[in-house]
Formats: sequence, structure tokens, C-alpha cells
Amino acid sequence: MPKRRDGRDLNDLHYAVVVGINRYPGVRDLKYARRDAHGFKKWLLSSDGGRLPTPNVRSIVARPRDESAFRTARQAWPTVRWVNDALEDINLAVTKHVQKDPRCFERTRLYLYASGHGIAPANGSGAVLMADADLQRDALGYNIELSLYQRWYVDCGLFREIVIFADCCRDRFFTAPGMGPPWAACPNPYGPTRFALGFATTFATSAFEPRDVTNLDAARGYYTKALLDGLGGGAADPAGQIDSTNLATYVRLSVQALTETKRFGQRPTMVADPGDPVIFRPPGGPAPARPRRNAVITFPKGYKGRVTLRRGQERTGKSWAARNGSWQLPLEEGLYAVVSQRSADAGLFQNDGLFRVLAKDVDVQL
Amino acid sequence: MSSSKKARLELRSPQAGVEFALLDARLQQVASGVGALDARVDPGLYQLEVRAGPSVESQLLKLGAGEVHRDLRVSLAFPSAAPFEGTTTSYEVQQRAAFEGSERVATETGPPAGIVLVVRNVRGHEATPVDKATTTRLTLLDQRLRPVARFRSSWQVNSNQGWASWSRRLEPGAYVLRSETRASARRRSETLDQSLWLSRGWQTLVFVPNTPLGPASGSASIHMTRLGERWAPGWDPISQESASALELALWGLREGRAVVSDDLLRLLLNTKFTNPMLGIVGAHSLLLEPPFNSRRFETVIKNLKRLLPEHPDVAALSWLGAEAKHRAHATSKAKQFPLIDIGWPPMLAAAYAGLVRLDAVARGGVAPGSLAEAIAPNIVVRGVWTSWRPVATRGTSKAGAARSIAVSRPRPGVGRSRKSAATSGARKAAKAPHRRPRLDAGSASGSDIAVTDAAAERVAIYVDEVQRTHEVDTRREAINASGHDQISIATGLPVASVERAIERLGNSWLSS
Repeated sequence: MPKRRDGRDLNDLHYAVVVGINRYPGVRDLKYARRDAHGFKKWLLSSDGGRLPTPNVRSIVARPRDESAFRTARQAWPTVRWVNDALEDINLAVTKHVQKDPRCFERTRLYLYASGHGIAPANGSGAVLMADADLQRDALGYNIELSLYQRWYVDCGLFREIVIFADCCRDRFFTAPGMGPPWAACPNPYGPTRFALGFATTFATSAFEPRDVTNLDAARGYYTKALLDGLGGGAADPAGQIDSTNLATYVRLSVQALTETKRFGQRPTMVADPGDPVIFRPPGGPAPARPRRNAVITFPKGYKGRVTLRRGQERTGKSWAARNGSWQLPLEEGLYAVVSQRSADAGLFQNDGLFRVLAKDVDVQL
Repeated sequence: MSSSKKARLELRSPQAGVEFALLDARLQQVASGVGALDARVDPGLYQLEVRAGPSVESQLLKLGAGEVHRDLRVSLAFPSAAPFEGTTTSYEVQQRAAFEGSERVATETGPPAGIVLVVRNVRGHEATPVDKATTTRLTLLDQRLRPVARFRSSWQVNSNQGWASWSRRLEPGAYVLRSETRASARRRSETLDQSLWLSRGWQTLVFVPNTPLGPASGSASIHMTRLGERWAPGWDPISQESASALELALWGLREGRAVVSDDLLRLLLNTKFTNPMLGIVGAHSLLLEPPFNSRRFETVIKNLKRLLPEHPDVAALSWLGAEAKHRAHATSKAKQFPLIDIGWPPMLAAAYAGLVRLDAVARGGVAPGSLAEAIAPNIVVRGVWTSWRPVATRGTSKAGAARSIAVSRPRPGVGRSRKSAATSGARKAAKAPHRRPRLDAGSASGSDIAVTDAAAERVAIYVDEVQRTHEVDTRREAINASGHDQISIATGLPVASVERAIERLGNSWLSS
């Protein structure tokens, strides 16, 4: 297995296609999709992240100066063709490897990350619109319907693992077709495919849920932020493992925390087998750092005592005299309890002194 | 640490389908359960999440050594289109309206099946008017796509209490619930059809939430009860439990999650279903639950086949079970897929999608020329139910309809087959030469053309993409490279629809 410059192994049979689209002349431009795609690509290439070789990552992102030339939807790219070409190149590359040495199959993985406008089309659960999609011409069929791609890859068994993340809306669009991959079904899969399919939001199906959320873009970015925080260490279990199961929990909680003050909260979904998860970071090695957030702890009026901070069962070694006012400190994400040193003060704090730090800075009123 | 030093968490819910998750101080899930949670954990700080459908409640807990945190009556109200206790959206007066509608069907004489249709303002949408205009947005069509007699006139409407109900005995078999609704305030009203199947000896209750955009039939809840018995959850614990489990399983399906509790399993594996819709929806939940337990699934299907022998959803489930088994045990051969060929779309969208997959994999599943085939390009994903934009059929004539329905239910006078209609249809379809399509591109009304264009357009976009990707000169070569099966999978159309779409697109299109 090839090594990185820092001596760590590269995941040489992991491949990725990263799509980020800001400019949609036929729909409406976005602000953060390209930045999100760059963020994910950075994680893929990092030695603490995906550890992919640079040539294995195909970034499909138009630069601002390219985009400025897109006057109409028909001029805009990337289109479906760009994505399919990139995927096809990768399919061919991995096929070549596996044909040469079938044992390679176990080490193969494909990431497909897409950030942009999205819809829930007539025949699918979530499709990312390509830059040439056009609302005026009713041409929203220029999309990649991710569940169809996922199904094709699972049926085809080209890769041992498929990971698809889509940071896009899933507004219902009754009339738009969702488009699947253009390749014939593979008659001879190399083996079973494990998968993780993550969407930034749940499919909007219920009358009891908001149906007129026109600007889910405001929520855009929360998903990728949570995803990158989770992959970067936030989702790691005590042994340091990050997999599709604990990542799904982390992302769900984080996005809920980030959007809890919004009128319509956002709830991401991840379809993966908890019994056979995709492992993004194996256990062992130095534990990844968990994200840190600023906490401001405000004490009840008149309370002047001394407190300590616990995290789970652990003493953090941090203490504070309330007479000095609010306690400001950076904390790793997790559950904490502020404990008064005087047992007589038990029950004085709101919520028994318990609070959670997750996804954002926190103000704690005890 | 010895077990005596551990803390214990013991939670139970009377609602089959309430989900529990326990997260430790690092926000790692350390225990979970559906319907119950019994966990021994290290003392410390925890976040407990309780979830029922879309309702989620979180609570931070400090558990000391040896401490027992016990709550055996955890209950969380959740929204439901069906009005019954334990939901956030129910009114007693609307419950009563549903009970009375069901009672009417139970006590009146007439054909051996029945329907209760209730449109209601759920809690939070009280201001939406429910009046005659509301009911005119709904139409019940029979298997020939003709309005059911007296549907317009027999509604009971109570505007003050925010409900309208229509209930009657009807012939068993296939129906369509047509509704006028809007996807959003900015979009135009759209007509959408939804598949219904009334089973012999059963009442089917359809609860449709009323919204400012119209009756939201895509968010409907569908329950069943025996024809001679009143649907009345809350009056006995089993029907209450079944109704609650069904609603939570429906929420799970809406979000693509398996919500299978021991209590749900007990209800599912009980041969005496009081509400067979729970069996159908629960079987879909079992399909979502890894690892797939084929034995358990087959028990449920066996029970369902006994109770609802002709139901297209039950026939489709037998294929979905075979598919799941095939995925779980890669040694199973494709030829072991059951031979089914369904003419009427199943009620659940997942079942319909499965049939289209079967059609691509094994050239069966969707009867050529049937409504199940015709709706494929018009399918609209808007919830768990099979919905489509109306297809225009040339033949609303008796003969045309009879040809269509022959694949989905036994013919009168032939005697009721104990096999599922789907299966008997399969045998006919297998023996018969290719059926003549009932939809014809060029010949009929404008809406006919729109119908055919929908399939052709989808195929055309896909084939163009294949042509570009494979860099071949003509679309014919692109089609040869991809194959009809793959086009079927990619476009979500049955193979016969793909073939006819290609035919309609014509030689000049193929050659370019």
C-alpha cells in the first residue's frame, strides 16, 4: 500500500467525485455549495481524514470566473455528463485493479459528495440538480438521483463500499424525473457492496411538516459542517473509531442543535446498516480531537460558591468561584455537569447543573 | 466495574414503535430499543432520546452507581391522520365521526367490502374550512376509472368540528382516490390519483388530513377492520395498540427507517390481525430492518395471504421478500423470484417500486397494458402511498376496463380463486402473447399524448445521456449498450413501457 509523505498508508483504492454547484442560471444561485465541496475534498485528502491519493479525487466545481460566463442554463456546467464521466473513469480504474488482483476488491470505496440545489423527484428520494437545470423550461431532469446511483452501485458490486453524501434540499417536485446512471447493469458483481447514503434533510412527505419552506438554503451548510466536524473527530467513539453509525448519530444531533432555533428544524438522514457499518476511521492510533466550543456558564442570582465541572464520570479538573461572575471556558463537545462543592447547594442549579455542548457555542443558565 | 456498581435504565412504552436511544457523555449511542429499553450502564451523564414518529424528546440524566431509572409508561404523542388517543392531532368529535362511519359500514347490508373516508382538520389546522368544496376535491373512482355512484351526494360534513366523512359498502377490489391538491401555495392545483384496494370481508378506513392546500391524501393513514366490526381504537387495548403501531410504522416508512419493536413483532406474528394494514406496513418495516429475517417475514406474508388473498400489496410483498432474501443470501438465484404480474398498483409506493424493479430483473411484476403499467411515467413520490398524475385512458368502455382488470382480480362467475389475483394474473400473462397496450400515443386526446410523452421524455433524456457517455453515433447504439432492463431501472418504468416509448420515439430518433 502506498504511503503518504508523513509515512501513513494511503487509501489507494478509495476514489471520490466531489460536486459543488453555486451557479444555477436557470434556478437561483447558491452561496455555500462550492465551499462545502472544497471542505469535503480537503477532508478526503487529509492524513487524518480520508487519506485518498490526490489523483483519486475528482472535483467537479466551476470556478467563479468560469461561472461569470454562464448566462443561461444551457451554458452552465457542471452537467450530468461531467459527473458520469468522472464516475465512469473511476469505474474503469477500479475494474482494472480488481481484475488484476481480485483481493483488491475489499479495499475499494467510492465517495460521491454533492452540494447544490436538490429536489425529491417523481421517481426518487433525492436528486442534486446540475448547473444546467432550468426551472423556467421545466427542465429539472438535469439531475443525478442519488438513490438510483446508490442502487446501481450496490447491484453492480463494483466497489466494496459506496458512500454518498448530499447536502441539498429535497423539496418535492411532482413533475421532474430523477435520472439514474447511464450504464448497463453489471452481470457479474465482484462482491457485496456496503453502503452509506446520507441526505441533509428528511424527505418532505408529511402534511404535518412545513411544506412551504422556500429557502432551505439558509440551512445549507449545516449538514456539511456537521459532517466534517463528525468525520474530524466529533463522532469518534472512545477507541477512536468513526463509522457510518456513530457519524449518523453525531450529524443528526449536530444539525438538530444548529437548527433548533429555526422555525423549521432540519433533520438529516443516513441510510446504512448499523450491523455492517462503513468505517471512516479505524480504532486505535492517537484519538482524534473532538470539536471545542465556547461555553458561558451563568450562575443563579446571589450564588457565590465554588463549583467543579464533570464530564460524564470524569472530573475535568476545572473549577470556578461563582463570585467572579459567569464562567467562560472552551469545552470539548459532550455532556457536562456543574457541581457545587457544598453539598448543601445540591438542587440549586437548573436542570441539576447538566448541560450539553454540541455543534455551537453554548450559553448555560444554571 | 462490577454490575452492582452500574446504573440501570428501564423504560417501557405502551406504544409499540416508540424508539429509545441513550447517549453517553461523548454523545455516543450506548443503548437503544424500540418499545422498551433495558440497559445497565456506567454511572455518569446521559442523554435520553425518545422518539415517536416525527416527535422527539430529549432529556439529560445523571445516573449514579446502583441507581435505577425506571419509567414503564413512557408515552409520547405524535401526529397522525387517523384520529385516536395518544396522538397530538386528534379530536374526540372527529374520533366519533370515524367510529360512526365505521359502524354504518358494519351494520348496513350490501356488497362484502366497505370504505370509510374521513377528511379532517388535524390539530393545528383548525381554521381550514371543511365544507362541500372540500369534498368536491375528492373523487372515488372504480376499477374502470369511473366515479363511484352517489359519491358526491352522500357526504356527511360538519364544518364546525372540521370533518367530513363518506362511508359505504362497496364491491371488493380496486379503486382510485382522486384528489385536487397543491404542492405549495405558489403552485397550481394538481389532480393526483392514489391506489386503494378494498378487501372482501374488511372495511378500509382512509383518513385524509385537510390542509389549506387541499386534502393531503399523500399524508393519509389507512387502517382496516373487519367488515362487521366497528373501528374504534381506544375501546379495546389491542386495537389501540395496533392503530398506534401502524401509525408509527408508517412514520418509519416515510423516513425510510425500520421501527420494529418486540410488541410490533408480536402483533405482526399474531395470526389474528385486527388491522391487516399493520401487517402490510409492518412487513415493509421488516424489509428495512437489517439483517433481513426471511423466516419471520414469510410468517407475516403467510398470515396476510390468508386474510387478504387478492391484495396487490400482499402479492408485491412476496416479491420484495424474495428480493431481500436474494440480497441477504447472494447464493439465491434470480429464477427463484415469484412469478407475479400485477395489473393494479399496490397501495404502498415501496411495493409499486419493487414491482417495477422486478419487471426489469425478471420480466414480470407489472402486467403489460394494465393501469399498473400505465401510471409508471406519471408516478409522483409524495409519501408512502402510490400516487400518480391521472392517466388518460381511451377505454373507459366496459370492454377496455374488463381487459385491464382481468389481471388484477378474478373474473365474476369464474369463482373466487384462493390464489392472489396477482398470481393468477401472472399465469395468464405468462401464457398470453404480448398484450395490446391500452394507451395509444397518437390517437386520443391531448392528455393521452401527455401521458405517453411522459414516458418517452424520460426515456429520451436517459438515452441521450447514455449516448453522450458512451460516445456512440446513434441512440440505437446507446440503447443496445445500455439494454432495456437498465433503462427500466434508471427511469423507473416497466420494461414494456420502455419498449413502447422507444417505439413511439420512432426510427428517425433512433437513427440520430
